[in-house]
Amino acid sequence: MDDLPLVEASRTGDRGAFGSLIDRYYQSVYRLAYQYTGSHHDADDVCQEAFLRAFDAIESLRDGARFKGWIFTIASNLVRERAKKMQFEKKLAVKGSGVGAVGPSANADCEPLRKLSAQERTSVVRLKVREMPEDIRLVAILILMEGLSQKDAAAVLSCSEATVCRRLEAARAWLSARLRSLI
Amino acid sequence: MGRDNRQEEAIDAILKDAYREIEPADSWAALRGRIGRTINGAKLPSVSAVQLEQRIAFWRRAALASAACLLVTAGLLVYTLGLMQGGRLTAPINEGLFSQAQLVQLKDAFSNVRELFEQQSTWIMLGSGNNAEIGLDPAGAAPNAGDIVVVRLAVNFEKQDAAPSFFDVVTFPSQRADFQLPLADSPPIRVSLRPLLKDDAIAVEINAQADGRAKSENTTPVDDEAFTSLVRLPCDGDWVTINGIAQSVSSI
Repeated sequence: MDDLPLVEASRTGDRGAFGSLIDRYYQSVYRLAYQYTGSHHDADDVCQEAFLRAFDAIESLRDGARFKGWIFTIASNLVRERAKKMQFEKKLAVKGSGVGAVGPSANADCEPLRKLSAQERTSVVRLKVREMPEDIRLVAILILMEGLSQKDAAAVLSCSEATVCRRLEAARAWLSARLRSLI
Repeated sequence: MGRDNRQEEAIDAILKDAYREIEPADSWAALRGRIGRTINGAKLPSVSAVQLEQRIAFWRRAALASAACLLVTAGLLVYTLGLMQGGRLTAPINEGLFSQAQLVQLKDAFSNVRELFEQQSTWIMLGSGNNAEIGLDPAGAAPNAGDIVVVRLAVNFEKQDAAPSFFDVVTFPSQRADFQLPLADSPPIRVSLRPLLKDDAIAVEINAQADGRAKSENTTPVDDEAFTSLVRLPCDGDWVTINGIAQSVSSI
């Protein structure tokens, strides 16, 4: 069953149908939010907020079959908003203390990934993705991790496929440079 | 496969694994429960809730309209019964002329129906045996601002020794009304009628069809004090004549 009938039922106020849409995508939305923010607390908030916004605005979704892309768009906007807020707060903290912000400790990436435990390797990879420049990070998460097509990612990020393609190449190059020695 | 490609694939696989293993601090089920509670406990009026309210408002209006429709129907019924008691529906044809009270009642009923449908192109037909029809002219002819026309039809079977049946049609000049004339002992006659008002004189354009085949079409000037034969056509082994009188009434 595709999303369209569930979206149409949700528009009539059918919470059960909307619940089915949540079941389909809440894990992906959570993963996206966590990968971007690195915080379970923030990911939890973003996940709830994204579905609440979707529920409130489902009437505005013109093409019901595009629900997946739409919920990712909402979630992407939320994580970016949250990241901006965090950066601002971090700057304030730096100004106040006079001490540079302490970067995430990632001594584990000094060793090849295969020598690390699976858990350590996972942590390093997630950390590296989180350190990516803002403009290529979401592209990497949506395409390389979530598995969206370039076309779908372009729709989620409201940019052209050519832009997504360029950012994807940049993301691959960035990751390759940092993870190559660890493979 | 080149070294770069293999390396790219290896990185892709690692990324996917790392991503797939992301889980909430407690459990997926707990997170799902929190999302469900957020949606169910949403205090702000959601779009769906607003839509629901709009639908409730719509149905409330529809119920009011239905109630108004019932009132109109009841009014028409009272009118019919009144006419029956007054003898029109069973009276000889020349006694079936309009009274001022009937014209006022018909004008009021028409006005109510127009309000009900919020349409300018409404017509009503009220007949013997409590038969009534309400309709809209699909062509939506522009109504004359000041006048409506009341056409009274008297249907008479030549071989039957029975009083004529009467039907009142209220519509705007030049606006078409399509309806059926239900008759007691024969199939209904389909009628398409359009009153034409020119220099205070009324002509009636009528197309009548009986037995699903016999058809007659005429445009005839009519009077308001004596019935004029509009059409004559075979029906159910007999001949039926439809006579008419008409009167224009100010709709204001």
